[in-house]
Amino acid sequence: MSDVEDDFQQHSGGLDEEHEEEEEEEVEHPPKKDRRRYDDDEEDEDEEDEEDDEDEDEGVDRGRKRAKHRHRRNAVNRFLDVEAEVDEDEEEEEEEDEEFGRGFIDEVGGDADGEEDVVARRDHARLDRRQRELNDQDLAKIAADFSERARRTSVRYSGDMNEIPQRLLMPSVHDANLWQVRVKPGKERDLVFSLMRKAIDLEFSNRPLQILSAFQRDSLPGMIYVEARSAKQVNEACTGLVGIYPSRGIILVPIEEMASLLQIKKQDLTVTPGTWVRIRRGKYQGDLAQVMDITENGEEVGLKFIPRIDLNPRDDASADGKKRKKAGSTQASFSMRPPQRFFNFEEVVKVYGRKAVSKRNQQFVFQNDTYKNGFIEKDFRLTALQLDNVNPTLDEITQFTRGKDGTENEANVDLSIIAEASRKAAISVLQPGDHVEVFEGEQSGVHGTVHSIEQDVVTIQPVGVEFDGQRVQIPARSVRKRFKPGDHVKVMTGQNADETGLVVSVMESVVTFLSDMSMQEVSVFSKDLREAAEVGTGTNIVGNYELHDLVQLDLQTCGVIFKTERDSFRVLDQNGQVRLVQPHQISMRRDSSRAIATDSEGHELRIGDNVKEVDGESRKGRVLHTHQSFFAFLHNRDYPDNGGVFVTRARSLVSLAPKGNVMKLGSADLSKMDPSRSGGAGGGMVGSGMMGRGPRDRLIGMNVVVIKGPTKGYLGTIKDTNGPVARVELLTGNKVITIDKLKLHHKK
Amino acid sequence: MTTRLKPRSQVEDEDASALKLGAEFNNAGCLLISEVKYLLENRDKEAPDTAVYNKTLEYVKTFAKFNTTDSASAVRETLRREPALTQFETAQIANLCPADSDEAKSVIPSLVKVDDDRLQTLLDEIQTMRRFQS
Amino acid sequence: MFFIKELSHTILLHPSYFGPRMLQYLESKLYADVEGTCSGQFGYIIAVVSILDIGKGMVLSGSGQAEFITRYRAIVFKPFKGEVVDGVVNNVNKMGFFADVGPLTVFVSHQVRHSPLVSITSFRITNLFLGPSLLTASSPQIIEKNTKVRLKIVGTRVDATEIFAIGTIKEDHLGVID
Repeated sequence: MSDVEDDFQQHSGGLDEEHEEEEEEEVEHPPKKDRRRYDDDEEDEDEEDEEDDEDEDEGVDRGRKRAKHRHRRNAVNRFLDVEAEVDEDEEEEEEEDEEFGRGFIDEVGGDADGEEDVVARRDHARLDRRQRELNDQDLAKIAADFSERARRTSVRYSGDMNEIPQRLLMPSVHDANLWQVRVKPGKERDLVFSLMRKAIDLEFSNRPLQILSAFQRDSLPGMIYVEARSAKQVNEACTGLVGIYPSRGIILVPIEEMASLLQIKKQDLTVTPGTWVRIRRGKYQGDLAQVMDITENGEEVGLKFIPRIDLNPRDDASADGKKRKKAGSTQASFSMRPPQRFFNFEEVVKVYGRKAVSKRNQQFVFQNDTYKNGFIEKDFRLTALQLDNVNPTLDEITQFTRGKDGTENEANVDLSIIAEASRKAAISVLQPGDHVEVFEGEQSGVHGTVHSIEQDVVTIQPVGVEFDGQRVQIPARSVRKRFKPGDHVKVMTGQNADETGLVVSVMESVVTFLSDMSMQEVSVFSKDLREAAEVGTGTNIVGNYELHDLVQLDLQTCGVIFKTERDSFRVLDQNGQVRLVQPHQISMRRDSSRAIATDSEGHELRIGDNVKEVDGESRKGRVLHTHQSFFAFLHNRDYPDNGGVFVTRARSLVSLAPKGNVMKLGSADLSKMDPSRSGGAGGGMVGSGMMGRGPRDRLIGMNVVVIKGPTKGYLGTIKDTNGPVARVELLTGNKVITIDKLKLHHKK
Repeated sequence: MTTRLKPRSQVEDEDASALKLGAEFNNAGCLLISEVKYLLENRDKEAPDTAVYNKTLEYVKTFAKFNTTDSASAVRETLRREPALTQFETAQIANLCPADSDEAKSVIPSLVKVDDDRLQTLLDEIQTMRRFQS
Repeated sequence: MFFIKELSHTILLHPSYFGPRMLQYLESKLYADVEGTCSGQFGYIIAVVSILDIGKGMVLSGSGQAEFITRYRAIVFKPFKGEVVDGVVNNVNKMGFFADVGPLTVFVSHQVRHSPLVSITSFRITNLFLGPSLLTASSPQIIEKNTKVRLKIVGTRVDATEIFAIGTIKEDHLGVID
């Protein structure tokens, strides 16, 4: 349990002990303080030990009140709540010895419970005073402490630990368990505080909380962790708090995972030339940039990115004042920023005048910025940059690669950097069962399926004769997902997310696939892909609307969705116009399955018929929808425009298959037949007129009044009947209710 | 850490080059394109107006190698002489009519088990039949 | 590959159809129901060749409908990965071409593999386009609409109503045929 204090929000119980300890501390104070100067590091560790030790030995010498010295407590730790807790269990003999070995001085003890409160308050005051003094004397040291704390990594105990071996600090079966509790996302921290307050409140009551600690991790939303001996104790602690869902399971965290829960991962924010970053603020917010160089202190980096120069500055009048113009353009950029565009000398000169741009070697200087090869080169502070989760998309990188004249500029971009960037992310997206291949190191060329992943090491089950079932462990960064042409894949992240398709080619880590929906080729990084069994259903449904639905846009206009994007549609309306529509702009979906239209020969046009235009371009297609008996929306994948959807007049169509119209009708009816519903009407055509009217209940359509029950007195129309009950559409509220026929009365 | 990732179940790959056609088709009777053509053209029922049907009819008319039922069954008879051939391989040979054993083994990789000379003899016979069908 | 296969289909018949012409209803319903459909398991069901057994109608309690489990023999078409087939080019675009193999549409990409790391974008430019036809870089064959090609299926995608496949012509003995 390392780094506990960072996440410890509270300990319940045992407040009193803390105060007694502080008292003790006063006495012990000076010599220890000296010591602190020498080995901050060790002290941090010791203080850790204490926390653990407390947990452990408390059980044994429960009963005799014990003041533990807190002398080595870090100055910072006074912000933390309270440690030490009460516990009934008995355990940890070894560690207890260890602890006593370090010379605990015991005992103050005698306070009766009633007094403790007073003592506590007094102690607090004293403590505060002492710490104020302390702060005054060695601010520098405190600062050092802080920076030391900040620098600590998860492997804090690996140093020379002459006192306690790390394994003894690891939780064992004898320790209290850690329980994961589901909470309302976003409320984790509040709830931990609530738990703490509850613990303090109930501390001296009959039923103090039995939990030992609670904490949350920002990286794990929707859950908090509670340390306790049993799930019941956790449950008790959680009852009455809003936002905790113990009913969704209080899950025991396996011992081996406890330590890792408390580890703090050090953010690796090193920047090297060539790294991709994103700009956080200003005109270039969100833009991708490449690091060129770094200043010595590491605070500023030189970036290269695609400029956004305003080629339509608003105050053209003040041609002389370059400065003013600049101010104007930057202001404008906040409201509407100019598009990304490579620096073009001629264009800029045309707008800003020759004076505004000066040329030096290969570079241009314009408005105090340097431009080279069309890119802007500019220094940024590191804090203004986003270094992690950059995820450059292929498009952006391609844009970089292309250079300003649109041609290849291979020398400029080191593809290995992209690979590097994508690889880093790739580690996190591997899953057991994935097909991977090793592309560097000794095992290069080996491929197989991922068996398990531990931290940065993946165990793979290689495919091939020579391996014969043995497993190989490979650093995760040396493997990448393996796809081969013909695989059906799904994009997990990025702008093409949820797209599925068949892989047509694989080049290094770039996979090109043919999208199922658009029939276009899409190139993405293999890290963003997953093998998919299902066809991309996600991509063609947005809201309630689906690809190729006939939708009503406004009173006059109807259209067919031919392309779905993340949250919008492209719709071809009856006039052949393409519109970009948000779901909320669609008033309704129209069902044209019963719409009637006739083709040029007077035959009925049905949805799904294969037809051809008799005039115009004589396009062929399958009927998707008909609208107002006049327009027909056809679909033919061969036409690249509008996803193969086009609109034409129904009158100019002719069926491709020579159809005996009557025969077709007959068979179609039969195929659709659900005689119980269609009322045998279709069957009637074949010459048995009698059976047509059978199923229809004469009550249907009758106006009735409800004479009993909660809806008594309401008027309605019978929509359907089934045995003794009827479904009645009420006139009020347009509601359909199911009601006993006996409760209805015929209304004239 | 929170959700256990289960290894995805691996579906057994279908692979025609290794004659793995899946449970439903491993022992199913294969039809030559020529036979399909015959069956479709001599249907006693009305032809359904479906895209699938129409495209298939067009396809088999284009690629049928043997125009009569006689020649098609003669081809089958010939290929039956080679007992190692599966239904699928028989149909593939008759549909694709490779000229030599090299080409045959390239387009139908599972034929490696058949001796080159014997395969060549079969292929030659088929070519002859194809040339001289009435 | 075309197969002849015995399949079964369940038909529910409303009592109003019971009577002398019941068999005809059932038959035409079967034809209409299954012909031209596609399933992942069996591929495209192209045509019913014969009906083996129309089934004994079991009247379902409750609705009064009769359930017929019909067995029939049908021509089915199912493409397999690794299968070599002939097809007719139906559409050529900048990415490659679509070929019809019976009811199946196969996409063949003209992606050419340069030596790795050349560039992600260069392959788009290096290919020559001649109107609606394209020269594949590996072989000097012009591919345009209605060209007959021999191709190998490298992957299939099956959904409820259709099968789609990806093919290649970049292997020996594949490509344009006459």
